[in-house]
Amino acid sequence: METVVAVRDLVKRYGELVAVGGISFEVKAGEIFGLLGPNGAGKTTTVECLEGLRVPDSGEIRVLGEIPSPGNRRLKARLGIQLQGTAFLPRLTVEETLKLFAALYPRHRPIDELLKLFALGEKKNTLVKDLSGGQRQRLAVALALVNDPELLVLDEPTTGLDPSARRALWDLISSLKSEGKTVLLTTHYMEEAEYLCNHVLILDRGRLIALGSPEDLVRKHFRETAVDLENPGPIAPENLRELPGVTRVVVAENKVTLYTTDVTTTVGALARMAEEGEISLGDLIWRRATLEDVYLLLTGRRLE
Amino acid sequence: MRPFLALLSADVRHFVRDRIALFWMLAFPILLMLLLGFVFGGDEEPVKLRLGVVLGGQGPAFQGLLEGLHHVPVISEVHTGTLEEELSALRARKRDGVLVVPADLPKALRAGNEVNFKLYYDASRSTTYQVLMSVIQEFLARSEEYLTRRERRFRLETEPVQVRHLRPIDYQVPGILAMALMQLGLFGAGGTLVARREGGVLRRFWAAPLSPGLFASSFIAHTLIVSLVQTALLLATAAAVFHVAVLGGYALLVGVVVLGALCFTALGYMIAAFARSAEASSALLQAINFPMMFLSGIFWPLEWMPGILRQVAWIFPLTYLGDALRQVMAGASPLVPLWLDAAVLGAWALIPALIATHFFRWE
Repeated sequence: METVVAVRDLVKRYGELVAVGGISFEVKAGEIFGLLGPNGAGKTTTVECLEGLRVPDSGEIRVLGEIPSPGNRRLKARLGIQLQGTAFLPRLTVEETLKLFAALYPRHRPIDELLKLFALGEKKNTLVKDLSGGQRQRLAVALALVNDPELLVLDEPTTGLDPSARRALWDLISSLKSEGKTVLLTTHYMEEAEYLCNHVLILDRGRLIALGSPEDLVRKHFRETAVDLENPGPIAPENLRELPGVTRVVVAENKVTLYTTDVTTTVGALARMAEEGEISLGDLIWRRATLEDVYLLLTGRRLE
Repeated sequence: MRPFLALLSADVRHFVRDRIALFWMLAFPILLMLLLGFVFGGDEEPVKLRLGVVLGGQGPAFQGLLEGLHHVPVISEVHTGTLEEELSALRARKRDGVLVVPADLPKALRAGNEVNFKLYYDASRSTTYQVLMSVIQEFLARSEEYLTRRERRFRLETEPVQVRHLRPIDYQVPGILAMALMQLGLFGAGGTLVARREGGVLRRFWAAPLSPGLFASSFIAHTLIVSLVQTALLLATAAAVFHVAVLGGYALLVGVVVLGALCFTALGYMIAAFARSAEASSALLQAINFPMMFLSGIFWPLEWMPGILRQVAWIFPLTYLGDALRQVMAGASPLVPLWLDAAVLGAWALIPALIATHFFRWE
């Protein structure tokens, strides 16, 4: 499989702050690759280095065989870019905005097709300033497609969307994959990464903490089942760790998560504790481990 | 060419839909011109004097004098009354002067004695009373000539030598045009650039394969179009309302307008390149706008200002733009030759443009 993006030892500092502290990864043609992490993890800095909007302090980057730089317009013409918190000219209509950007690129997709694809047809004569947050976000992603790019770089494409709009955009991004496009996206929704991405890179404070497919990452770190207890009452985590089958206990705010190799025995033991009045089992969920658990395991923090 | 035209047409549409900008950039200078024009009077009115006369008595001598006053062209109104009535009318500014004709006029005329007239005037209105005094002086001299049948030998002929009479509005219209061009450049170009950078609009353009030069030049073209539309609207209004004409020809006018617009657009861009935030840029732009507006001889001639401020005015590009426009439009006597105005404006366009290009930031 052809390599579309290759990053080696990327470092970017802002004064004292190390935004990205030496990460390496590759993105193959036709896949959806996710950069995952909380705000401030270095996701945006990384993608902006790939887009040529920022110059790295050290490390090597190749995108579509080119070295990105602020002046590399040949590369910019081949990239579909959606920036985080981007803004457009507020008093242009949706259609005018798409046409304007279409004219800035050597080739472009038909505007009507984009309007239809992003369900913006009814809003095509609406001024950008009068759009809702979700509509504006859809316009931002539609603009990333305007030049029919080889690689899409989407920075938090679903932030600020309601759950149904987010689902709709997921389907759209998935359909891009079937068109043969390569997509690199950032997100702080584990669920989104798990649903969309063939490979994810988990970033924390500028450091790479995990890289692989979501299934592999979960399989690698967990053979256990997760048991979530919400508001279990005053109970010492040490006592829970003693329970049969339990391998790990993570406490974060009001939520306690147990990882167990033997879910039936563990839940049985919890039920006995509840009968004794030692614990409240009002909200107990058992489920298979997810990327979120991987993140929690590796950083000791919950993402959201 | 296609990206350039797409950006230009987007900018023009975007501007036309901004009602607040349309008001401040296009309508406000026109309203200001109308206001100044009406306050200072489009055409200077010929002096009209309202005279109160207090007659000491009655008879043909008094009537003859009164009749004579009615025939003086500068005197529009002649009222008669008692001294108290007329003086209170003078204090109420219903008279410009009160002439007291003594009671012994007929007797003194017959005897060939001196006659003492008295003229009351409002000392706070210097131009009016100076005119009034010379008019009454002249009238009395003529009357005396007539009554004594003595002829004057010395006669004075007067002829104006100023080639063209400049009304205040002829001076102000080029000034207001210069001010409007300055504000279009500073706020319309510079301020808009900062707002777009702050709002993250520039970042999205930066992500497209667009050269900074193309991006800037399309917006400069937009600013020039708006400047020329502004010029046309302002001058059409000035022509319709105050009969202000462009004496030096339209080709020259367009040349000066374009040079002025480029100069202030470059200044606006330079401020935009340096300012760290929208607040900082708006403070900086105002710090340039206000001193230039009031110290560059836009609303009143430079000679009216104290020496030190007049020296400062020679630094400002607005002084030269105003001077060039006044020369081209009104044929006013130049502060400096037109080519020097153009050279100074050119320098003020080039240096800030180079600085702006060097320090330009997309975000």
